Amino acid sequence: MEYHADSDVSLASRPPKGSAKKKTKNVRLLALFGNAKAVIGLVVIAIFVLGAIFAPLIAHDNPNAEVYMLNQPPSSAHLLGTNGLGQDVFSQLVYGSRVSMEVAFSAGAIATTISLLVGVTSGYLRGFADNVLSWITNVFLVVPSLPLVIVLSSYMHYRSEWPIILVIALTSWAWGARSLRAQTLSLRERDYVLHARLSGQSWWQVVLGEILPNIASLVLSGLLFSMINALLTEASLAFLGLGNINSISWGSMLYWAQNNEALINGLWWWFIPPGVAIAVFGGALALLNFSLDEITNPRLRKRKVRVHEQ
Amino acid sequence: MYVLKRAVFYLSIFWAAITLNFLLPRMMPGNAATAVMARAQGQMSPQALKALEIAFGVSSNQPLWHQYLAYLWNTLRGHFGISFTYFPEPVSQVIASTLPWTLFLIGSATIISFVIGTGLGVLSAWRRGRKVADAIPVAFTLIASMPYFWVALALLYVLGFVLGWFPIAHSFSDEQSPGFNLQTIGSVLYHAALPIASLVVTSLGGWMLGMRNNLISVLSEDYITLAQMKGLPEREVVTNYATRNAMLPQITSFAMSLGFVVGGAVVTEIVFSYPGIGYALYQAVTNSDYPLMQAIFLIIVTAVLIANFLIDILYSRLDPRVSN
Amino acid sequence: MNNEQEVLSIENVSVSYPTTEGWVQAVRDVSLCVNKGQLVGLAGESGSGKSTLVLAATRVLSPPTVRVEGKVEISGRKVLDISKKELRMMRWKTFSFVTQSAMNALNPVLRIRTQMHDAIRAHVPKYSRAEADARCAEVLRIVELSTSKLDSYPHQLSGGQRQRIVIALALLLEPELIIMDEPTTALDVVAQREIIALIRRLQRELGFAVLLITHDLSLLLEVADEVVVLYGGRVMESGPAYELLREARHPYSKALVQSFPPLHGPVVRQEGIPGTPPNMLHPPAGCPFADRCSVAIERCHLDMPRLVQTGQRSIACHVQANLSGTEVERT
Repeated sequence: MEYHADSDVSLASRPPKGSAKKKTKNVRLLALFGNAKAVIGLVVIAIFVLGAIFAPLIAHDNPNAEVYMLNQPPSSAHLLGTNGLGQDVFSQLVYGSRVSMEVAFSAGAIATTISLLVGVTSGYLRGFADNVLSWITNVFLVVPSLPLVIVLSSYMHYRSEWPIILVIALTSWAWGARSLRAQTLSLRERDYVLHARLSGQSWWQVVLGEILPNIASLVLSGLLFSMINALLTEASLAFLGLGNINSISWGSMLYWAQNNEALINGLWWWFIPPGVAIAVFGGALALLNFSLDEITNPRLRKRKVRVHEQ
Repeated sequence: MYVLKRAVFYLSIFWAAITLNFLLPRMMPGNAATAVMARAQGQMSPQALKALEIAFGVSSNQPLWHQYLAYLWNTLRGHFGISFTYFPEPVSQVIASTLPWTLFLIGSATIISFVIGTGLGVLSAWRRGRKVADAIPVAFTLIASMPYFWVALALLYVLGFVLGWFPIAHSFSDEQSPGFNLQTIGSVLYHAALPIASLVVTSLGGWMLGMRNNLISVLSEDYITLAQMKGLPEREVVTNYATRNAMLPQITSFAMSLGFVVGGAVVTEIVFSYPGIGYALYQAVTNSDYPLMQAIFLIIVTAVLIANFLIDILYSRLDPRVSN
Repeated sequence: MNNEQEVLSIENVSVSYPTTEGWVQAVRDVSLCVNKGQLVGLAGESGSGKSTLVLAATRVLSPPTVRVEGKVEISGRKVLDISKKELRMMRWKTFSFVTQSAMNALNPVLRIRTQMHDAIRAHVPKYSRAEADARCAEVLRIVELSTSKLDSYPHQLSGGQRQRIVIALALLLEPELIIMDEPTTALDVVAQREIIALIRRLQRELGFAVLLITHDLSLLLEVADEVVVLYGGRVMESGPAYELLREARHPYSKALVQSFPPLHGPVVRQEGIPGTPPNMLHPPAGCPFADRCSVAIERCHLDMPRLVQTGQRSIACHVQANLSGTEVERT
């Protein structure tokens, strides 16, 4: 496992060299705004966030009200039609974004925090602590998370989103921890970090001042990855009826659509929109991650002077 | 030596999974184990109660460590008790009849997606700078961020329901007499087409992006330059030097992504009512069939661990650097 | 110019590469030649254009990555004009390379034997496996390595051993010319000296010619027959090594000699050259070294001095030209 972990570093992120470290890092993250893919991703994310915040202004129907004619196709009165329970699909879609995004952002943030704590501690302290933390990380890495989440969910009865958020976060931090550990291990031996350590700075000063700024893009990338994972996992759980099916999320919309055989009845406007919403929001996060990788990994950027004879 | 180290590592994870299975019901709010047991008293047959006892490792008033050891012993012997859902079939029987379907589904989907994805990755890295080659990775990044089950639903709707080209459920036709003949095999493949396709579509992007990035990194290595300087035919540089080396990290990610693939397969099976282990897990969860649920989780973990171990052995054969 | 004795001749070669700000000329109007059995050194700091020159002249770098003008002949064949197939057949058989970092020049997952066999198979397909094996064993003995190393993987060898393997690889098909690009940079001082001594000895015994690229001019002066000093993509000074060893005339060559300890002789205080090489995106109008030169006069900043020949030596320097008088222009 040790060897694999190290071989990943070159792909995941190559830290800037030597003296110009902090400055270039900030410049690079700003470079996101000059990358078309990143801008598209950011704009889409912004639209979804604004849509969730201002949901009542966008969708005028109560998403829970079961007061309309059943199974109506899209019309001017109901932009995305009505479902088999007499609810307005468009309202559900807009309000549902709140729960889906709450889970994506919270679970993503918690998972990233855990991976940051475990990864950096493990890489920086090395020795016994590293062995223990690495073992735990590897366990979580190898054990398939969705079956674990399903098993965990069966023991719980959800009244809010928080148990789901915690379960998703607890089962998805290991990937990030692994790459952050590898990166910290290599940063630890850099000249400027050695200098900081030898000049008598305490470990937290070194970590905050020298290590963190240089793993920022890796952390950001991990956050985006965790958010996509949380979004998809929540949708899967809700779809299986293992989430909080009483709240409206994109996943639970699909659950009700499936339970009422929307597919067999040809009610495409019931199960297509939530899926598209997940795909578009997840796609925007992925696009941002993709361009982040392009910016921080010099080898993936435009073809430079390189050997290409024959 | 290397193989031994890996074996010990996987065994330790196996132990952790069993322990987790033992502890989980006890750690849950209100101690699910005793709660379920209490609820079950008087309502269940003695056989079912016995199954629950085995599943949770609860033997009334024994001390915890004693329960734990008994649980370990039962698990190692494959004694998982009786399934409620498929009552009175033993859990091991249910697993034996469902596991092959899942292995078939995951196996073929993974191989197809690995081959196509890796091939596309090579193409897109080799033709970098051209519009199509640069658009492919972006397209697949987007596809990879769609939920497995929703892609499955969409395929089911369009190809199965609207167009009627493929069956929309089960693993083979009811009219088929089960037996090992061409017709049955044809029916099985026909029924598996959509589930496999949906797994392939959503996992292809990962392989492709991985291979593309690996190859781009490898192409800038000095040994590629030297191979070209040596005047080797281009075909040989591409296969023996570039692709061969870029495949190595792919094999590692293959192992690492198995967990995701298994997760995807579980949901896909549910969508297609495909009688694999994922569908059985779903049945178990919806029916509070704890013996079956715990056993399936353990089997999934074990399968993934064995697969990882095999891949490690394969990898150490292909890359001489790891065994040192 | 088509001298029978010339293995490599580079005539008036310029190399440019494209950037977002237009074409940048990395090498301008450089000529040099390597005769049979000669060891010619090409010296300069990193960024002087020495590697670019050689890689472009041998078409390792090729369009659209670079633009090459001028004429290059290796063993009488016009390298820049022949087809790719002809070029591929020439490679390794007529001229081979010892690359900069032997650490990364060998494929980490193939045995040394495999990496030697594929070169033989590509060029001498008539060799049987046994014959190929015999040849591999022979070149390993030549570089003083045990033949058991043929079955090793690169990571099982030390840096010095790997460098020897790369040299053995270059000797495999008995080429007339071996181009060595910083063959010792990754090694410690002791290993460096061993490798250089080995190269010199093999070159004398086996009679191949060497173009040795390095930033270590003082080392070059001790081992080379002819030396060419490059700076800012131009030739600053060239001539027989013993001449330059006796007295480096160009201020840049002087500075370069002083910045490295000699291999033999008394230890003297080292002086680095203050300043950095010019930005080739915006090349200076005058001598590229003028900004760092301690004896520069006003004219140095305004126009580029021509390369003038005095005896066996050529120098491009206004200050030196004033001292020596006779001006023979090279075209």
